[in-house]
Amino acid sequence: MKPLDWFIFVALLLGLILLGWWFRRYMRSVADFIVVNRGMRKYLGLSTWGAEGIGLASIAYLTEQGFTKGLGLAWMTLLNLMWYIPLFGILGFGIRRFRATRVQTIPQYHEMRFSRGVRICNGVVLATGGILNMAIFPVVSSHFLVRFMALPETLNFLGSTFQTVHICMLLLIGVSLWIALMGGMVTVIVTDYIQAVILAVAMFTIAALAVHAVGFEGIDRALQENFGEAGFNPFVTTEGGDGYGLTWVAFFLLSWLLAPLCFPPSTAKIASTDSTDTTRKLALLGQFLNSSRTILVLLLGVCALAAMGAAIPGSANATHYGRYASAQFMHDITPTGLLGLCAAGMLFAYVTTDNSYYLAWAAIVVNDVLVPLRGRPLSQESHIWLLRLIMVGIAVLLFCWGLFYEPDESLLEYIYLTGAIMSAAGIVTLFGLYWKRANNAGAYATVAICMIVPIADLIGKKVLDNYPLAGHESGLIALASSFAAFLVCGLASRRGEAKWHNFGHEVREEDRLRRAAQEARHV
Amino acid sequence: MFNWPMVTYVWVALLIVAHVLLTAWVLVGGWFDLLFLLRMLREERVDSTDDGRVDTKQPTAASGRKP
Repeated sequence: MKPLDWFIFVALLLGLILLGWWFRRYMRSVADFIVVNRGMRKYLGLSTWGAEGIGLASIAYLTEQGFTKGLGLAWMTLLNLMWYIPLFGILGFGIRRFRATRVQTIPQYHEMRFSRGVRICNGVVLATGGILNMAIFPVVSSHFLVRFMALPETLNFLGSTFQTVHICMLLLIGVSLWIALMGGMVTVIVTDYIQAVILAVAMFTIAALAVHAVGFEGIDRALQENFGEAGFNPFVTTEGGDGYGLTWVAFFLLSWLLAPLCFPPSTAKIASTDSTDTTRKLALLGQFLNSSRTILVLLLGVCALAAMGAAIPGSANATHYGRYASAQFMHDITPTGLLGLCAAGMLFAYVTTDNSYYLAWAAIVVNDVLVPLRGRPLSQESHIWLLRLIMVGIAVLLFCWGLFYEPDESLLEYIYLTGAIMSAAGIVTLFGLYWKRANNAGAYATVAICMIVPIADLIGKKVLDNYPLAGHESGLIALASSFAAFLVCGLASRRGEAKWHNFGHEVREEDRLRRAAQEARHV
Repeated sequence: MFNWPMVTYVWVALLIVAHVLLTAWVLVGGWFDLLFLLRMLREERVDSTDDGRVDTKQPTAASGRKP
């Protein structure tokens, strides 16, 4: 990067750090720290949800998919929209009732509906799945950013040589941790909004430059020559392994059905809204924004393929080439001045995602594991400091993990497989909210299955040469069998009915009050 | 025969245009919501029981501001 780019990059980074420090004064309680005292309205929610939905790791895995598989994932995203928007965006299925419970975290609802044991158990599972899920973010994002900024592989400092990727990891983890530590959800939401503006400008600029560089004909030629129909149609696979196939599509759609109620960073945003109706609108427009941006980023991967070709250069590692070629391509097409802005946009993409994640996992570890085990509440100050301490612990863990581990499978496969561990919470919540007979046995069975099958896959692939299942197949088995187990347990016993409460009443009451207020305004 | 490439390109183009327009709309609205949020946080009263606890006597209710 040229000095002008560095100036823009450093100025924006320092500005972000100062904003985090400045806005910490608005945080005065645990409810502020975790759910911004439930005061987030629609557009701010959309800005922050949208910014959280596209991290730098997501840019890396989506461009990898575009580069190695074409636009098949775009169709899966579209198929998902076709049921996500009516179900969650229009009906508010599950998410409105969840908001009506007024909980701060998913397992808190599990204690209300089931027992403290289910809460702690799900807290452990969500924290494990979530930290595993984000464990690859720092290392993957650092590789991507180093290539985008065309930094050297090593740096000499005080006579020692350091890997640039490791220094970059420290920077990414440090900035996102700073934002989350300062004021929790308050600083996360305020800085997310500002970062969302820069991120949007950076994304649109790079996308326009990429399409201009290769042209529509270049995109079409790259897709047709490299993948044939599998480059568009998600249901077919080629003999060479290109494309997705029916099991991938089914796993993808099922994962998204559970995502709004099992993914703590998203449920933290749901819990932060000012009403259940805002939650519904967030799902409606937020998912549309995220899906269309997914397609935009996929297109960047395809443009990189059109410009650089699929042939792996002699010295390059095959996995790394497919994963990070797009970063190199984006660097090559971005002119001086814009490069600094876009590099800051990439860094902000990382920060907006990871700061929400730190907060979400720390809230679960403290609220749903440590405090319930302790048996009595903490003071407000101790509670907030414990949350901060756990966030620092997670950050240290992530840095160490990034030093030693990088996934062998595609990033998409890894992220969705570890996401399947968290899906247990989605299944338990969904049944808990809608089924009288949902009970503790079903909840424990679901948690066990969703924990064992994906982790067996991750370990099995490291230990065995020919593990019999692909990641998405393991994920689909985990979800389908835990659904079945929950149903069987519920049908076998009526014990769950004792703690049943229909939160649909609260949702309808809120609708009635809102309509009455609207009519009063008209009069 | 379904023309996968043509339909894909049309969808992709439509969604990207809609994305740009929707992003601009959301960011403008987000600014006003941000000002509202900061005002609300300045004026709020702290509820010390709203810390993730579940009332064991009335387990169907969590603490916190009602939706």
